[in-house]
Amino acid sequence: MDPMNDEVEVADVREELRARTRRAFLGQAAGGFGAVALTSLLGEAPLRAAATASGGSDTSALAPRKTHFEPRAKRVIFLYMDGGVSQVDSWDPKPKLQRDSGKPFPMKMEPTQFDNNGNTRGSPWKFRQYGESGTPVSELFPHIARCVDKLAVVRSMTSDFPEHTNANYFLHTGHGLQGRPSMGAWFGYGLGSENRDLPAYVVLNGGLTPPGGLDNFLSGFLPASYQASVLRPDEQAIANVRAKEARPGVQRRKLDLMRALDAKLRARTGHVDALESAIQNYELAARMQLAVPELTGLEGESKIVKKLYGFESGYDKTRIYARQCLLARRLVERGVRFVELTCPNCGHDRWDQHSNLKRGHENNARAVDQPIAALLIDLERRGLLDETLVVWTGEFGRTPFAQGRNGRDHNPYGFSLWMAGGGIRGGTIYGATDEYGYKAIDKRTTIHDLHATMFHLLGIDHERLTYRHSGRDIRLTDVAGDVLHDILL
Amino acid sequence: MSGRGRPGRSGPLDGAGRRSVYLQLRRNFVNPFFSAFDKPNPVSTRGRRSESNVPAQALSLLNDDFVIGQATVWAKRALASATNEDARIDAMFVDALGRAPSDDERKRCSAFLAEVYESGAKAPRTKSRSVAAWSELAHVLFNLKEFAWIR
Repeated sequence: MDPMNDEVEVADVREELRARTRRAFLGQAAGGFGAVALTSLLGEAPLRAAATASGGSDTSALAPRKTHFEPRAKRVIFLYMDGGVSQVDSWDPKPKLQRDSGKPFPMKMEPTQFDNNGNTRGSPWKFRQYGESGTPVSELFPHIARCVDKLAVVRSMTSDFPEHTNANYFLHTGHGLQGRPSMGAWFGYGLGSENRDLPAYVVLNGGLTPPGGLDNFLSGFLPASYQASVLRPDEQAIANVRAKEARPGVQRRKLDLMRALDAKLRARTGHVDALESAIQNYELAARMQLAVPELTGLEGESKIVKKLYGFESGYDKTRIYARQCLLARRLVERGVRFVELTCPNCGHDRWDQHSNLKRGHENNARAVDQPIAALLIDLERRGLLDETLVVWTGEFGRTPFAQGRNGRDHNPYGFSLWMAGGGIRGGTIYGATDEYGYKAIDKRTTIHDLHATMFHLLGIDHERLTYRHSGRDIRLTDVAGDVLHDILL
Repeated sequence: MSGRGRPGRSGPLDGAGRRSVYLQLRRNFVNPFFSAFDKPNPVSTRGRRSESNVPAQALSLLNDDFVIGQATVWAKRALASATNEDARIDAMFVDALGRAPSDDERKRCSAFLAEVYESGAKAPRTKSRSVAAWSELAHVLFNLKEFAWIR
């Protein structure tokens, strides 16, 4: 008995069996998208999908797809306010809260994270009405306030989770646990991308990765090509984005050899999702080497535009967020489907002001207020706002009663968000919380409703965009979600 | 990288040939190569690492100075290991992928080497066209999916 020979025989048999299984045969025969991508890119022939929105396995993963019905918007900019913005201090004025400030809180207090609840606490900021709609906004957002007629403010948002990590997964993936595809991945899966040189889903990271980590932006069980690419808002948006070869054409030759050798691997292994995605990633990476520097090079932007966004602000965090917002506009101009912005680190633990509410919220607001308003104005001026859905939200709100001396704890029972742009009816207020701003009582809205509405505006029926996994047809909105028709045009 | 707390000097890119058991980590200067490959942000603990699959990883393997440097190191070793081209190619395939190349693969690599040599590319320090060509081949092998993925 020769152990070496035995090993070789076993390996041979395994190879044979592998080649002969139905799965292997089907995998090779079906010609997964990676193979097609290879051939198309070797021949440089563009692919356009006529596949349905539920995904065709015989086309390039990111080729644009038809919508279920006529869309109002083509892309999304998601302004994520990490940590939970206090609704009673921003978009939801409560006169009774102000009057009763300092008194014991009269309603039943649900359990809070820190269980250090104090009395009723009024807002340290005043509200004023703005625009033709007369929508009230607090002093925290003077710039965005001037855009209220473009906004639909939803005051009756709720979340199922009172803690950041679960609430972030819920907000980003529609599910409270780790591992599901994020919103941006679903949009890529449903719609593809209009730009083959940039990822379809980009996160502009201002400095703070949300609790829950990168799993907020991944593709879960959807093919890996749909996950986010995270860019920093500075010159080197992605590390190593410039080719290093000294001679022109050398990298092209290397990529050609690499493709040929990878094709042989693919022929042997059949359809493997990670492999397909990796192959596509290389092609995309090669094109990004030119596309990303073109995107982040802001020399072409006028001084006036940069000033509008806040590039000359005295506060460095405003300058960071200004860059993110300007890049967001440039990304959507280039056809990127879903852009999310995270917050810069203002040093008060995101918006999560368990203490120092006044200073923390003020600095966070100061960072984002001017750039966001500029983004809305700039999009509108360029005729892009009608086709771009802008969403502003955190993962939950804050309690109207105090935490400790000067903070507010988490509140998933009622908080505010706003939307603007593609298909949104501006100057509206939807839903309401109780007189203290604690819990949503009128037109209670869930994260699933938000997702359903976002899909609807981009021409997707959220109940029809599914992916078969673990034996069922899973969707971003799980088994829930109603489109908020009242805030749509 | 720039910013407060940046160390004044960095060590050599290849760590002077040392293996790392512990690496110093400065949380504002996280190594982008590691980040691209899902090293968790040191802000908090991480129960299970993400396994992402993104173009940033392709860009790292294509353009990171460390990878390019190591390709040259390997190329020099391959050049020293054998005198004929086919033997060197075979050795590199065995090193990287645990198998010999097929005839077609060997031919393609040969053709590639000739093309790079013809292009006149020179290795940075030695100015050797030979080292440059073999470094580029080594770099290609680093970027093969078969190299990166364990079956």
